[in-house]
Amino acid sequence: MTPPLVEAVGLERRYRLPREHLFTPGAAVQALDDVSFTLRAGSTLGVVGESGSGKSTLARLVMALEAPSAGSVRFEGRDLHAMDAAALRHARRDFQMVFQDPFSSLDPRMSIARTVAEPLERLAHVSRAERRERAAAMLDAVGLNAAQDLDRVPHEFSGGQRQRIAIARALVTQPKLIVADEPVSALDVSVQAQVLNLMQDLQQRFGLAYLFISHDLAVIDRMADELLVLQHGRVVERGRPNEVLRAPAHPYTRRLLAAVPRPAWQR
Amino acid sequence: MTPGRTSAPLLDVRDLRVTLPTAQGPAQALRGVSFALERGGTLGLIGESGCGKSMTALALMGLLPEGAGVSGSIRFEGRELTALDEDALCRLRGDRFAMVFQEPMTALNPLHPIGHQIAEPLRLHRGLDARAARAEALRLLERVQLPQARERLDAYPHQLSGGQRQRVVIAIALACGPDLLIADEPTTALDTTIQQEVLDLLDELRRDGGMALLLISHNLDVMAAHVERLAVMYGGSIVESGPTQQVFERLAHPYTRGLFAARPRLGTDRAVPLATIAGRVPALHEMPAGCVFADRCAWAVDACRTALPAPTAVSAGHSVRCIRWEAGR
Repeated sequence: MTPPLVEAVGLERRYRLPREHLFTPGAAVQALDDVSFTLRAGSTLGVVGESGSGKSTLARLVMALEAPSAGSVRFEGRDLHAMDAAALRHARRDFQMVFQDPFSSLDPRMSIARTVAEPLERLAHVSRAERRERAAAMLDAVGLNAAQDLDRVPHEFSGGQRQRIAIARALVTQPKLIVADEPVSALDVSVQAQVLNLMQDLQQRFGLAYLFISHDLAVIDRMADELLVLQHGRVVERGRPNEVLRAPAHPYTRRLLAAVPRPAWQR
Repeated sequence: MTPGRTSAPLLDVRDLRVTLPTAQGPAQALRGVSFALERGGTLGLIGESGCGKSMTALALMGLLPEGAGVSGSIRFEGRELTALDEDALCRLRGDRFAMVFQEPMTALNPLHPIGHQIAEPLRLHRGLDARAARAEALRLLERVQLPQARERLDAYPHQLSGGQRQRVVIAIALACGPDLLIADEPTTALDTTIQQEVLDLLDELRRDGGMALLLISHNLDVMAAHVERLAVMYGGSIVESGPTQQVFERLAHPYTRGLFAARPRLGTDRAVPLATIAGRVPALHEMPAGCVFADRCAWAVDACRTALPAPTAVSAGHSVRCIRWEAGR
């Protein structure tokens, strides 16, 4: 049997706060505590929780931007945190990330062609002409006009277009997994709908898996095949979104659901 | 002439127009915005980036960017704000009307303890001495339900969480007991459960003190839960306004319909893509003469492009700037 695309087992991450007194060490914060999950190729794992729940720490561990204090992340069966630098660099083409804020995640001085093709610069065998060609193909895939947009710079684009550019950049290495950390939270409602539809299309077209982080339960309900609810670094509830959100078992999930505003005339 | 307190609305905005200088020449950021807010009432301004909702708030506060041209009328408690000089505005701002901004970290001064920042409007507008202002600051922190308020008077903003900071910003805005609170996306930067707490707090403070609330948000669900009247903005004008429930039930303007359909909701069919609004908002310098939404609208006809549609009554107190509103239903 082929291993799942991503298998996380017993993930823990502790941070030490800066010391407040000269002779006592700073307090430790348990950002993640015994988090395990599997993510199959082509499917979406949704992660919800509030600030400080460990969502972004989880993303950083899966992206191998940080090492766990305990536990492991296996990508197609290989432990990401046990790889040497060269192997990890090679593996990175298979997992890419999209961030929340499309204004700060793009270099303002870099052309769109270079921005989108940048992940390919690490791959030695891709020529300059081929990089530009693949960047153009990805811009087309995310619904931008490659012929017109390749040589422009980020400030010429709206927030929604910038998030499309960020998605094109994530796709350019033909990854199997995209870790998306609040990818639509900074976008207007109508633009958010376009980007969510686009992400669903791309998933079908390229067989992508998403680790989709959001604080918005309705967005997660739409995108995720499985849902993890994180609180204080722990998974307090998991399951299929329609089941968890229709009949939440944990008080924290119930609190999140209760915080969704309801029309005054329906209360 | 002073209009009678009982009949005139607290805030009466008529045909407000704001022109901003841009690289492509002057651009109309607000194209004839009119609305009224009763004493103690609530009004929501909803719309997407660049629709003019924050520009409206800045115009009310007299905080428009340098070089902005303003015409039309803003009457507050019968006084014409656009005719006041900066000194006169300064005496009103933070006293009779106050504002809560989106990002509590940038609205607070990181170098001053929060007690000091809450005391500032009290010393400025009420002439309280340091001791009295500090006592009042403590009372305000308790009123916005900041835990351990007494211990926190001397805390700095960085020592508080986002929700706690927004409570401090609200305490500053409430310090002088304003008649009008303008809140521009007050909870957008906060977690969902904290968002609910802060909005509930605003509701409670408003009910207790008879303060009017102008709430600016892009979030339809927040509006449905917290304001009595709603004005939908697009391209620098109010395209639909009325009692919130009626606006939600009729969705008279095609843009309101588009916004409503585009938002993800719990329990909908994932196989059906979210409805989107085709095209994009025109840039400020390329605003068309007619209906700004016409190029994105499925119901547009030639007549839509000749002149900005005048408000048409849908029902009592509910109006829409669309000549085709009955066609799209």
